[in-house]
Amino acid sequence: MIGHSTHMGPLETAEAVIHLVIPTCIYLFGSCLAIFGGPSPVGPIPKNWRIAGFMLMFISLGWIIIQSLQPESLPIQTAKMNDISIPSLLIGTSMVGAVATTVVLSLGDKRWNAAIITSALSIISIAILAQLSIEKSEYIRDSFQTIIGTIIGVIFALWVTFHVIVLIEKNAALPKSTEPITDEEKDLVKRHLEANIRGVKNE
Amino acid sequence: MSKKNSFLGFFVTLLIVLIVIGWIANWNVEDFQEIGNDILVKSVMAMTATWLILATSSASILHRGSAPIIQTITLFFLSIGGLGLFEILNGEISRGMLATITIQWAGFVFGTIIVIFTVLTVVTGSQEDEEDPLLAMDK
Repeated sequence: MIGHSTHMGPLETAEAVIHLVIPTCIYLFGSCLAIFGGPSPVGPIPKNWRIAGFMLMFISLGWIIIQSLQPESLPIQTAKMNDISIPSLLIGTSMVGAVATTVVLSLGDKRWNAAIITSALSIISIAILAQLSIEKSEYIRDSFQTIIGTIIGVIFALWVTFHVIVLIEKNAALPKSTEPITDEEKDLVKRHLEANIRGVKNE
Repeated sequence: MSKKNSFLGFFVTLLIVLIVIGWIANWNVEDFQEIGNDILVKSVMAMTATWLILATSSASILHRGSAPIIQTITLFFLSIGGLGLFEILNGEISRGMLATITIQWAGFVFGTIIVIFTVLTVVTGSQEDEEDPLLAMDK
């Protein structure tokens, strides 16, 4: 199993996470520019910025591809745990991209563009993984098993939590309720209603 | 697409992607036990983390009566149980393993975020014709 080396500590973890955060944040920033540069009813920004947003998204994708295939070409030093972080990013993109394609298609409403782009993301990620597998199949296997295990674990944990909450809430004591209204109170309410709604006759 | 077909499509797509990535990752049927054990260990770790997050987040509603207190304590015990189960299945939690799994989770989350924001960008972009009449008034 990968990860038994004592060289991997918090610093190496933080370094690898920062190397993932850089392209992801550029992508998110570009995506926000593209979203709010469109016909957005909330916080619209100038339309020209939409193109800048798309450019940032493409730059970020290019960054991820270079970080996957030739990390030494990047202007920053390659993270020590780059071989672990990149396969998990690509596996996540390919799996969620494929699922998103079916979800977008099942929603209908002619979202073909979104379906084509999400499936393209998924296929490109799988192609890069296939290229990486020539030398680093061990890392891909470990990341893949972790992601499958994580999905199963999170679903099972949420399922158990749901049942635990239902069980606890079922057995919880009911809050103290007020006593039912008496005849005197009924009369009082009736009198108030008659006086305020119907009004007092002047004649 | 009907609800039944969309569920079927969802599972078939997921299965195809799993098979393709499994093939890329050089999965062998002979190593089934080893793969299954590793997936089990990772899922126990994910369960522990999920229960711990839920227990700590439900601690903010402790003042609302006895039910949230029981809920928080139960989730906390479940997370400790998960940790114990992990120890039984895998032995000690090494520093390297924690580092590896943290990065793998981060990578998976970032990959998911990229796909979600791509969908949002493309969907809002394809609504160019349906311009908001209130925004158009500013022009």
